[in-house]
Amino acid sequence: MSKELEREGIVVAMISALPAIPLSLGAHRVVRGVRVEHLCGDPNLNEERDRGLMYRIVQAALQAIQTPVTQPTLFDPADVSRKEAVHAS
Amino acid sequence: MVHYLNQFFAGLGGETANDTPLQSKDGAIGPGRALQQVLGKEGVVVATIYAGDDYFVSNQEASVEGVEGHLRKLRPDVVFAGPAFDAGRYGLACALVCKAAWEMGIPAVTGMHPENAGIAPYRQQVLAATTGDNPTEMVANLKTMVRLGLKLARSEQLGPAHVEGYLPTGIRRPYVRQEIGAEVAADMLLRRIAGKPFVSEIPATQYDSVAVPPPLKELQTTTVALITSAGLVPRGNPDQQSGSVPRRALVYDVSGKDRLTVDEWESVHSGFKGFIYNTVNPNYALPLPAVREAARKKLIKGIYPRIFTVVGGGCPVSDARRMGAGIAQELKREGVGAAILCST
Repeated sequence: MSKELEREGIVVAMISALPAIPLSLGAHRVVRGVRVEHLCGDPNLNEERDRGLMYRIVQAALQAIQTPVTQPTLFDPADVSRKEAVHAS
Repeated sequence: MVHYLNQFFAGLGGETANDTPLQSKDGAIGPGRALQQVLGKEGVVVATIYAGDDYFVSNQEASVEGVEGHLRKLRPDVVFAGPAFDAGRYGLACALVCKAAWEMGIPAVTGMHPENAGIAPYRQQVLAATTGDNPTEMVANLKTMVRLGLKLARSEQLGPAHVEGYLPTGIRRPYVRQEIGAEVAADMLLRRIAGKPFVSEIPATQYDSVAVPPPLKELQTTTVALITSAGLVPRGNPDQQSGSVPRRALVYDVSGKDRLTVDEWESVHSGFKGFIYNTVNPNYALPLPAVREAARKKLIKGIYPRIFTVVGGGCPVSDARRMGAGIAQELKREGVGAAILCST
């Protein structure tokens, strides 16, 4: 899907909870999300921190759209590490 | 022999048992019994390791360590995983189990559909028998897996992927053939001219590559589109989006909405537990409030009012391509320069 958009020149930032997969399939701008069940946030956080987390993920996506890349590249939003994803279970 | 299964094939249940932690049980269970029958006297399934797909992929490091722990104790000659057919997260778990076994020096075989994305990052490191997407072919698939596994256990060299029935690993091995190169080339050319089938020695890349679009420097003048593959639909699913065999991208107008609410939206994706999207916050699947905030701060010009929603699981690449092309045409026509694609 992201490739068809890119083919028409639309810049795509793809948020994924399993970034290794889209990166290996050739998606160019991949943003690390939290988990498959709550991709852009974390229900275990309080409302304010959760809102901040979602905003940082979107910020990373907008940053990705503005960044020149030559190959599949992962953009890590601040505070969304693999650790946190594990933690959220 | 040790077998790896997910929660469904281990008989614990479908999506409800998705977060079952990694554990092991003596002997064969579920498809493992068929595996044992296929093995016959050639081997014994001494234990089955299993975990929920969601547990495994969300706790990858701990799961792989757990698999290594079990394998250290069990010391099998071969590890079999799945087959996973076209299930993406089960495919990823099987690939990681096999990779862990190989790294401990234990031959390992899984089985999956060529389009299963789970194996994509590990194609060169993991041996997977080629399967269809239909679990009724389980026994035939297990036969291929056993044949490959026993060859590995005996340190026999495997032939080419299309002959042995495994997914191409991209690894090429030199070998001496009977005919000289000129004869092979001439034969291939004549077959091609005659419209007969021929097999190239250098197959084309499987996934097509697209040139990277240059970044947008002026995001303030860009309208951003939002797309999700989480199967988000208005509550009640009025357009009857399929949860597992998606063929359509649905389009909904969110102009004037600051956020999506659980009263109005739900996820019908059947490939994962949707209850957090459905009962807590559908914006996790499409971060509308945060993108609105970015628009209010004038970081972007605005949000394209129509959101696109598809179901990612069980979607063949050809359908994804067709739906993506349709979305792309609309966005291009409307002058939308960028998209955020939320992929579950």
